[in-house]
Amino acid sequence: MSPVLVLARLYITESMRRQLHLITLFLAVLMLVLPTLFNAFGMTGFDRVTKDVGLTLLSLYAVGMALFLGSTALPGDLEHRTLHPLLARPISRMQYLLGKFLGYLVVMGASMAVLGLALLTALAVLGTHADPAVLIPVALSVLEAGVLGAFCLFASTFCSPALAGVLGCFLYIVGGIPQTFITFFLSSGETQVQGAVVRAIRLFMPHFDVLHLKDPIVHGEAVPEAYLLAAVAYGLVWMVLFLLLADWSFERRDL
Amino acid sequence: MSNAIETRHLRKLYRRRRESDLLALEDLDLNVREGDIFGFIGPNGAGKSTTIKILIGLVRPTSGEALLFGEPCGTPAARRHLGYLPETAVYHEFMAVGELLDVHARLAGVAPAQRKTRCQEALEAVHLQDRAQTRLRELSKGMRQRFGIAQALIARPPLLILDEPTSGLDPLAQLDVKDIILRLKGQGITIFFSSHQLTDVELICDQIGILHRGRMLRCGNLRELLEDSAEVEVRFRGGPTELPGREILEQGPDRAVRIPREESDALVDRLREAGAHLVGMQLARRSLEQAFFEITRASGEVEER
Repeated sequence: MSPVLVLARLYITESMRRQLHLITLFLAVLMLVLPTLFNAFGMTGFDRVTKDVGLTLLSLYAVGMALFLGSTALPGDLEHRTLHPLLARPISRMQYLLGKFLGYLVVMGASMAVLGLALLTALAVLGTHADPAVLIPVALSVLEAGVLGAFCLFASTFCSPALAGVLGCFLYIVGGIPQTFITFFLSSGETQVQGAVVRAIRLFMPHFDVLHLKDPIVHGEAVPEAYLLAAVAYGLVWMVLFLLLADWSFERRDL
Repeated sequence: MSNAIETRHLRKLYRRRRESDLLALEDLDLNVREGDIFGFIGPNGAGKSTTIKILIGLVRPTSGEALLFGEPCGTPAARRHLGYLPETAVYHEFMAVGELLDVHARLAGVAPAQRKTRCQEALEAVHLQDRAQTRLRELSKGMRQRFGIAQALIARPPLLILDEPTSGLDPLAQLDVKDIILRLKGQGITIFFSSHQLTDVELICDQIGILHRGRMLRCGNLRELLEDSAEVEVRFRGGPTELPGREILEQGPDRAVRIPREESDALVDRLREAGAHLVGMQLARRSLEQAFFEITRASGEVEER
């Protein structure tokens, strides 16, 4: 087994045994299935609300976990010095980072799969056709968590976990502003300088709005396959870029 | 005999934003022969841990060169030769002893067929064979330290680097660790360790290096370090029972007095004139602790604590 897989397995095992993650997941599942109880009042169109709220909840869960896990994974190992005996092994720092990140992605993917299934179950209980298309935004939320987690991992190689989390928040908020909104904002009488600044900032950060497909799915609109593939490729490119930056920064750091 | 560790003109300057830069190491030359136990001593902040971290590859030197068995430090090739016990070692506390040891065996590249045997051997070497299923957080500090040595041994490395292996342990646990180190030396493993326990260093080391404020003040074997004394001990029988400004020690029928080397001729003349019979004269034997203080004081750099 390659060192990356060994380290990923170590991360997953530890994550499961710490139970913090499992408790958070349990609470999220609980929040997803709660709407099935409220439906006893017989509100019409409640399934769409459930779908909308459920997917929003899933997205928030993914972002929250990405910010928390991504910004604390490396500093935690540094603070507890669990990193030193591992890096004394014949492995590179890149392998260490990749192992951590892969473990994080697996934990995140599995959690989101559980939440996705819980949402489908809730929709089925409500008597709605459990459309597997609901899983598309779920999968893209995993990808979004991957990009955000990779960024936080990069940030945590040169700053404190709290600051890495704050930077991650900034990236998510600014990167998540829909392009249409930016276009409208820039065409409504702002100066050229302001416009250039906004464009420059946006140029160097991922556009998370590309990965947000909740609304079309909730409203039953079809998403073109080509768009999906392009969105996945877009997310993967940013993820790889942040991981390369994380390695570049981590390689230079004295531990 | 070739060298397990070699450093040449090693220098480390930590750049700091809010404070002045910190020179942790300056022009450090080190040669540790294969099979030796090398004790690295010095006060806190002397640069011992920085040196060790450079050898492991956790810290990059500002300039100079460090080699492990001829391989540049910090490369996976160099790390194949070593096992490392960090200072105040903390491990993944939710993992079981055997489980984490298996992780280390995999990372060290131990072949799958040998992994189980190696883990068993390493645990037996530190007397933790009955604790394979115990989680690390349930181990005592001494046991955790022994686990640390087990993980360092997992790939049967020819070199062990131990950062203060007896620090914070009770006397029994310290004795355990010392026994383990001596047993490993018997197996031909080179051991490089830093310590504040000067009596341990004196007992088990072949070579000792004294580091202070990033500079190697003295390096050599115990005899070289202890005999390089500024004092001689003069033993005599009969004669005076008191000497102004000197303490006379009774040693059976003889008496002994310690004086600076340059005063020995004058003292011998005086004793003879007083009717004493000269029994012997030798360089005063010091403990490593005395030598350590003398050497660091002589460098004019001992801080008032």
